[in-house]
Amino acid sequence: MTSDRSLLRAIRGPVLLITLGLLFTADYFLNYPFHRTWPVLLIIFGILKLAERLGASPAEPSGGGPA
Amino acid sequence: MRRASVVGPLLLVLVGGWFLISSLRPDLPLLDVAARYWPLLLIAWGCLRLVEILVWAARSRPLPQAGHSGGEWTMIVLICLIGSGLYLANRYRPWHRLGVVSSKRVEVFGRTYDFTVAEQQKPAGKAPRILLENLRGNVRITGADVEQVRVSGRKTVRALEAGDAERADQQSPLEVSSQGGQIVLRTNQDRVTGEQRVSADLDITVPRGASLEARAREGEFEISELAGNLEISSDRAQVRLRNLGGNARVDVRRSSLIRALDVKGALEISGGQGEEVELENIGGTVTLTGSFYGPLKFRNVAKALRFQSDRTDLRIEQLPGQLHTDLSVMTGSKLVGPIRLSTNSRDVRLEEFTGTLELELDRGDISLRPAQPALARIGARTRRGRIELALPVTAKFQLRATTSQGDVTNDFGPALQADSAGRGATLRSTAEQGPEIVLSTERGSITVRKDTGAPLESAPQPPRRLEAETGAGRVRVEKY
Repeated sequence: MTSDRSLLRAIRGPVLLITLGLLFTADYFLNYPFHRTWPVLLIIFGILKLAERLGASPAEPSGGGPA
Repeated sequence: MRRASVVGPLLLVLVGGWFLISSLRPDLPLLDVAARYWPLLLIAWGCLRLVEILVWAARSRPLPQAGHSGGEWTMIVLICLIGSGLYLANRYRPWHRLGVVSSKRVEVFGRTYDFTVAEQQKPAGKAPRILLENLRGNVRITGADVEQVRVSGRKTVRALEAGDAERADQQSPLEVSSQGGQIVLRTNQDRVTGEQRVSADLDITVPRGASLEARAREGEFEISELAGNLEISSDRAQVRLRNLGGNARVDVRRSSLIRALDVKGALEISGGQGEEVELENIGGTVTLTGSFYGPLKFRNVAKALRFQSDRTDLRIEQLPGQLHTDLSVMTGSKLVGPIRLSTNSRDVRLEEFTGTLELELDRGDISLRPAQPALARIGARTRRGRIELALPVTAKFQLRATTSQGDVTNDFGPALQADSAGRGATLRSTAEQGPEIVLSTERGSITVRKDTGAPLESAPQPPRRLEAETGAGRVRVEKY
């Protein structure tokens, strides 16, 4: 379970980065301006964070800080 | 163990490669490509990093705490800012609108190639009408005792390669033709295809009696010894006129200098924005419209002078003396009225003027010294500033001076009576004869004194330098 969590945490950055790139591309080529689509970033971030929390076993303290 | 990502070095290779290509092949529109496609860099970076992490996870290697370090995020933000900036700049091309640079690539990477313009002549008679169209470049036109138009000069082409420059040279031949009774000189720079920038510096000799119309976009004009009328229109120019017999009209949207010396006819200058204007010995009326930031100097204008900008409205009936103004001070001497001046913020100092004066300032000091013999009606009003008036000892007048906040000084003697009222004060003539003089300020002192020929007290000082430096702490200048 721990490896799932750290994997999710590790891919959070790259996934957000790809989303950011896609949003800019959509702005320049598909006529979806970034100032309208930026909340997608929040949603993706939220989903990843959620997956991380759900993936954690209930016994483990969330956030992985010292017990 | 923390494994370093391959993305950082890859990015470095990519950036290095981009700069290498852009310096080796300056003709490729790499900047445009970068402006449009930079988000793909983010996607590629993200994908690479994602694959990397998945591979590490599949091989059960230790995973990093976060996908990207703080430094990497900083870099990403920077890329986004620079990329968006490039994109916006590329899309809206602000330099096009400003008219600064016609083609940035040619400006940055191009070279300058010179060509000579072979001399051409055209018989023109004694007083021809001449039309000149030279979009870019400097033009010197001189009138002489000839009966033909003679042109020679030099052409400068800014281009990426010599071949482009030669093509641009051939596409823009100088044409001298005779059309419908007028001589037309055309440099045909608008025919040049591609992004080469052509400018032509021409030296033109015309019959002295010629009248001239010149259209340009950018460049300098130097015109002298013409008897006919003159008309210049340009977007951006410097204009120097000397010894003209007719009327002159100059319409320049942005000028750094307009100078006219010895013009017999009327002079009309209009422009959006200008800097320096210098007019001397003008025989006709002078009309100046536009915003001018530099010093304006007028000397010896035989007829009416009118200057109108969004801050200033000035009319003078005649100017045998001189008038000098910049953004902070206007000084004039030997002006003939009626004079009307309204301006927002400027110190005004007028000496030896005759005729009526109507002066209205929003902010600024006023000092006035009418010419000795005759006195005419004077009205001077400022909202904030001092007023000083020096009157001939023997003069007869009815004075009414009011300040709402400040004091009055009467150096004139028993002819005037001072009263204070609240924070302000008034000064009135005791006898009622002679022309009316009305002075008023809402805040500032008023001084009326005898004109003894001494310089006015509030004469503007030559600019003093104030330099202050502090490592830490404050500098306070109480009075300067």
